[in-house]
Amino acid sequence: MADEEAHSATAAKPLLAAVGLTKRFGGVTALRGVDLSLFPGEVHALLGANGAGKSTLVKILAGVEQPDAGEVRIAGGSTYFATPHAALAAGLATVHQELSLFPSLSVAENILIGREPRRLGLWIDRRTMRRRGAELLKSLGAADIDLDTPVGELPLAQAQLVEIAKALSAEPLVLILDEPTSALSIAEVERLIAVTERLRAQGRAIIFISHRLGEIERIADRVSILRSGEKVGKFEPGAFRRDRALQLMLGENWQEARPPERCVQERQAAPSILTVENLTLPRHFSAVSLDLAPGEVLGLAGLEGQGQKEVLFALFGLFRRGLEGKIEIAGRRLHPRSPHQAIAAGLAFIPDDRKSLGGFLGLSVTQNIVIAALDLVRSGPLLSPVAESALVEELIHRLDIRCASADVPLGSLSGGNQQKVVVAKWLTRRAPVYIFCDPTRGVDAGARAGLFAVIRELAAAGSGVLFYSTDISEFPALCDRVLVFREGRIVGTLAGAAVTEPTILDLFFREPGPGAPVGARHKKEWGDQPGSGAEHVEHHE
Amino acid sequence: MNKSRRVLDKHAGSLSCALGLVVIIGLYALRQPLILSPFGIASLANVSVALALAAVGQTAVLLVAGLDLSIGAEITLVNCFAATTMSAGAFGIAWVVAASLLIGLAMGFLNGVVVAYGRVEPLIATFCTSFIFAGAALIILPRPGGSIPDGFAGALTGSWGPLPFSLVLLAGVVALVWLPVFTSRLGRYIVAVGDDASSARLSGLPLQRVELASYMLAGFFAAVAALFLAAETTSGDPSIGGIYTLNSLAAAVLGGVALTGGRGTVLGPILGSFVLSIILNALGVFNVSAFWQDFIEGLVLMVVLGLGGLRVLRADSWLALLRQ
Repeated sequence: MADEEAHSATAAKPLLAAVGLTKRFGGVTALRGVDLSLFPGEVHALLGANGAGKSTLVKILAGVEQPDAGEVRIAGGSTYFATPHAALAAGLATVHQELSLFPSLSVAENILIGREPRRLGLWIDRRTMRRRGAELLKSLGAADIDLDTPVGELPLAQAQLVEIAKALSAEPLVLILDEPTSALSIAEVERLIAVTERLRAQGRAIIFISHRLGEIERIADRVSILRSGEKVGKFEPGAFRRDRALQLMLGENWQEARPPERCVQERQAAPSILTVENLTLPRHFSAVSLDLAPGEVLGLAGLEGQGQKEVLFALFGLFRRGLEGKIEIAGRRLHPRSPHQAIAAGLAFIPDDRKSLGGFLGLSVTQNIVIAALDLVRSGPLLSPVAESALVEELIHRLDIRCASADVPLGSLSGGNQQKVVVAKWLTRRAPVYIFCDPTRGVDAGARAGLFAVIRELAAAGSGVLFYSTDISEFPALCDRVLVFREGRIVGTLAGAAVTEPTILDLFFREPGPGAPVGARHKKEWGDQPGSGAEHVEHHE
Repeated sequence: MNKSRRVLDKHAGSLSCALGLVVIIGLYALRQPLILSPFGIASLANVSVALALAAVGQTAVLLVAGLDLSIGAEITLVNCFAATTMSAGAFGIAWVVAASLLIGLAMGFLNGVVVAYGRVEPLIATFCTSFIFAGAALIILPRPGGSIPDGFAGALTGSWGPLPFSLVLLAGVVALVWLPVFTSRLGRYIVAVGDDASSARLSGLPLQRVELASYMLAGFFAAVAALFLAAETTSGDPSIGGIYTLNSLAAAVLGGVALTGGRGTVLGPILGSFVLSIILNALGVFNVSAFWQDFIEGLVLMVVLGLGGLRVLRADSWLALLRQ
C-alpha cells in the first residue's frame, strides 16, 4: 500500500504484489497481513530475526505453502500459487535456503531439471544441455565446476552456485534469493552481485534475503523489515540505516536489560565438567572450543543454522564419522559415535523434535518417563508397577506436567507438556551434562517459563547445561554465558550482564565479512544434513 | 572422485554381474558342456528372460523410490488371461497380446493411483493389490490349464541358429520401450523423484504423475513377461508368477539398483536376472534336492538384498539412518 504510493510518481507497475498475506500453522500466526510490492529492475531485501516470517513469505511466493488469506498479484492476475510448478510457470524462480538439488544427478542435469532441451520433443539433448549449463555457470564465475559431477559430491559453496544457476536457467521475471551467500566466498559473492546487477538492468526483479547487512547495504534498492510475522518497517532507496534496522527487527526488546532478579553465577573454580577443544565437522562447524563448569548454563547463540545445533548433535554422537577434535567429560575422553556412547558418558539430550527424536507418542506418559531408567524400577527380573508409578508421580509433580493421568498416551498432551515428559525422562538419573537443543520450539510462554525453571534447577544442583534456541531472546533470560556462532565458528563470547539480545546480534553482525566456507572439501548428500532438511518447517514460532 | 572412478562406481553392479555371469556359465559348462551348444544357450536364455523383464519393471518402480510387490501376481493374472483366451490365427493372437498389455498397464495404473494419489505406502499398497490380481487369476483359471497356439509359442521360444528368439524379444522390448523412456524427460524425472522427492517438488516436477508412470511401466513389463511364460509353457498356471516378486527385487539390487531410489542402470538389472536365474537353475541341474532349493534360494536372496544395506551403512549421521 505504502509501497505503491511511493512509486505512483514513477507510474511503474509492480511486477508482483503480495497483498495481505496471512499464514497460520496450528495456533501460531507466521505471517499477518503482509504487503510487498516488487517493481521491475529492483532488488528488494527482506530482513528479520528468526521466526519473523521471511521464510514463510518466500515459501508462499514460491508456491510451497498456500496463504490462509491474501493474494499474490502477478502480471495483472490475482491469485496465489497452488504448487511450486505454478510459481515457476508464472516467472518466479527461487534459490532455496535448503537447496532443491538432486545429489545423484550431475551438475548439468540439476541446472536444467524440468527444462531439459529435447530433440524432436522426445529425447534429452545432452549436448545442448551441457552447453547451456556451462554458460550459466560461467556467468556466475564458476566455470571450473565440472558439469558431469554428481551434485552430491560438490562442496556446499559450489552446490549453492549450482542452485543459483538452476534458478537463473528458468529466466525468471522475479528471482527470489533466500540466503544465497551463506556458503560463498567473497569473490563468489561479488559474482552474484554482478549477476543481480545484470538482471536488474534487464528489468527483472529480485527478492534478496541475507543476514549480512553489508551485502544488503550494497545491493538492495529497498529493504522491508519483518518481525513476528508482520511488516514493521521499510527503507526507500538510499535511506537504509543499520541501527534503525536492528531496532525494527528487535522491536521492544531493543535496549531491554537483563532481568535483574536473576543472580549471575560466578564461574566456579571447580574443574570443567565438559571440555571441547577444536571440534571440527567438515561442512558444519570448525575449531569449536568450549568449557562448561558445573552449575553453568552455557548458550550457543547466533541466528539459526550457524552450526550450533550440529555441535550439539555431534556431542551426542549423532554423526558417525568426520568429527575431529577433543571432547572430555569429567576428565574422561569421549569419542561419541552413537547416542548410546554419549549417554553412557553422562550426556542427556533434549531435542527440538519430540516426535521423531525424543518421545514415543503412542506410549503412555509413564512408559516414556521410565524408558531410560528401567533398572531403577525393577523388582527382580520384572518391572514393578509400584516403583514405576512412585518415580513417575514424583516427576510429574516436580515438573508440573499437566496430564489427565500418567497412563494417557504422550501424543495426547500439549506440546509444552510433551517436552516436559521428555525432560522428565532424563531426570530419572542425574546426568553431569544436559543438552537442551531448541527445547521451546512450539511451546507456549507458560510452559517455557516452567522449563526454564527446571533448567536453572538442574544447574543449581551441579549439572552443566548446554543450551541452544532459535529464539535469541531466550539466551539473556537463561544463560550465564553465551558463545556466538556465525558460519560454523565461534565469533565471540558474552558473560553475565553482557548477555543481551542486542549484544548477541551486534557480535553476530559485526563485519569481518563472509568467512570462508566451512570444510569445503567434504562430500555429502543434502538429504543427510540434519538441521537443514526440507522437512524442517522453520520460522513458525 | 575422478571421472573414471565415477563411471566405474555407477556401473559396478553391471560389471560385477557380467563377471559373475562368465564365471557361473564357465562352472556350469565344466559340469555340463552341452550348455554351450545352441540348445543350451537357448534354454539358459529362456529361463532368464521372464525374470529379466520383471526386473526391468521392478527397476522402474525402485528408481522412483517405490516398491512393487504385485509384479508376480500381475504376471500370473496376464498369464492366465492369455492361456484361456488365445486362439490360433493372427487375429486370435494379436488381440490377446494387445489386451494383455493393456491389462498390465491397467494393473500398474491401479498401483500407481493408490500409491501416488492415495498416499498409501508402496509396500502395503502393492501387497494388497497382489491379492486382488492373484485372486482374479484364480477366478479365470482355478488350476493349471488353458492352451497357447503353437504359432505364438514357437515365435517366442524358438531360435535362429545360436540366437534364441527370447533374447531378441528382451532386447526388442528394452530397446523400443525402456531405453527411450530412460533417456527421455520421463526417465530423468523418475530418477530425480527417487533421488530427492522434496527437491523434485520444489523444482516443479509432476511428482504424482511420475510415480504413476513408473508403476504403469512395471505393469507393462510384467505383462510382457507373462506372455513369454505362456509361450514357454504353452499353458496357463495360477501359481506361475509367485517367485518373480522377490526374485525381480533381488535381480535389480544385484544389478546395482538402490532400494532407496534414484540410482540404477538399464543393463544392470538384466544382467542381474541372468546371474540369479542361472544360479537357481543350476541348483536343479546339479541334483540339489528340491527341499534344499528353497532354502538356498532364500539364502541367496537375503545376501543379495543385504547388499542394498551396505550403502546405508555409509551414511554420515544417525539421523540420516533414522529417516530411511
